[in-house]
Amino acid sequence: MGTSLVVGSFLFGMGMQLGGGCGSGTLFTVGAGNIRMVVTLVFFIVGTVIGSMHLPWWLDQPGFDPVPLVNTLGLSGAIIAQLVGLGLVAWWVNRIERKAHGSIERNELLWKSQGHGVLRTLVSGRWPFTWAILILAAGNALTLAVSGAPWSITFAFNVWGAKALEAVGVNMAQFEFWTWDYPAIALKDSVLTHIPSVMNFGLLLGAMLAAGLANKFNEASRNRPEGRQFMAAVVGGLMLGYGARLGFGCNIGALFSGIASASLHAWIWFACAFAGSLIGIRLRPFFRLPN
Amino acid sequence: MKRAYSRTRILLALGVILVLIMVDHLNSPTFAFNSGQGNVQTALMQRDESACAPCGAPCPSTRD
Repeated sequence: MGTSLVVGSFLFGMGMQLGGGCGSGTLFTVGAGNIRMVVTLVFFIVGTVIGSMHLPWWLDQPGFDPVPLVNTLGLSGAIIAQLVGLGLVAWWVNRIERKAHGSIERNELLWKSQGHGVLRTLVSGRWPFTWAILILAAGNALTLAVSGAPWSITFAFNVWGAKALEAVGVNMAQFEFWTWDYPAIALKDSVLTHIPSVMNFGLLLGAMLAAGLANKFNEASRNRPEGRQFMAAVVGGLMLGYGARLGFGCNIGALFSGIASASLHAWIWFACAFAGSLIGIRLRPFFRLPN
Repeated sequence: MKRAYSRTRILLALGVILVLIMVDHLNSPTFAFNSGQGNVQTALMQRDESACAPCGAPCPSTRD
């Protein structure tokens, strides 16, 4: 935890607003055929690789070792502290929504979609948030049980980008990051042995299937990104990638899995990414993006 | 309704990605190990316990 986490998560928050998604959001929209998000993904990958070249320098700036809340507060204390934190976030966003719209939208929390039956909703969407919440929680627990680490996305982008550079003759071992044990072996070995890569392939194919079943594949790409919108995808993608590397992950690896493993860094990531996101919203009109 | 995509292009893109993955896999230590070649270190044998982050970054306290 330190300078790299603060700077990285802040950049990532800004990048989300300009790039049009986060780590998982970029992948599932690419899977659904969104051309603009393909641009974001390409520059996301470029950003992670540049970030990996710079990360050792950032790690030498002020910082301290991770703080697992379980070690400092005990298991029960960590769970209570996190539930209080999540409760405060829920209270805060409810307050903002009530202030903006007068009431809170509760339809998303229903078990059943109001428009269609369960089977049709299951096949062609759109799934209620409650289903997604349960699947995310169970899926991340399964990922931890099967792979020994919680769900992460962006390190795979790092590996893909570095492999591409090696394929054109760049020696990645000249960069300190790629001499560390885990990145070095991940770079050398097959992407099919790399769990985040394989899960990302599954995410892309799953999104493609879901969009196809809903008859919405490529629906968002009837207008090709041009001009400033194209620039937003480039700049946003670079910020997402660089920020993810410096911030030790994206909204999945750093935030979702970080909070699930009761790590203090996830809360710092959340605060800084939120601040970056607020500035990113202000920048959207410059890139002709609607707010 | 007119489709918003070309099936051929989608299949071509998926095919290119599959070929890239297979080229990467067939040249990997894991494929060599599974083909009977010993003495190679594979990703499946190793996880860096001293790392501080999922990407393998070391803890600040271990840096010089």
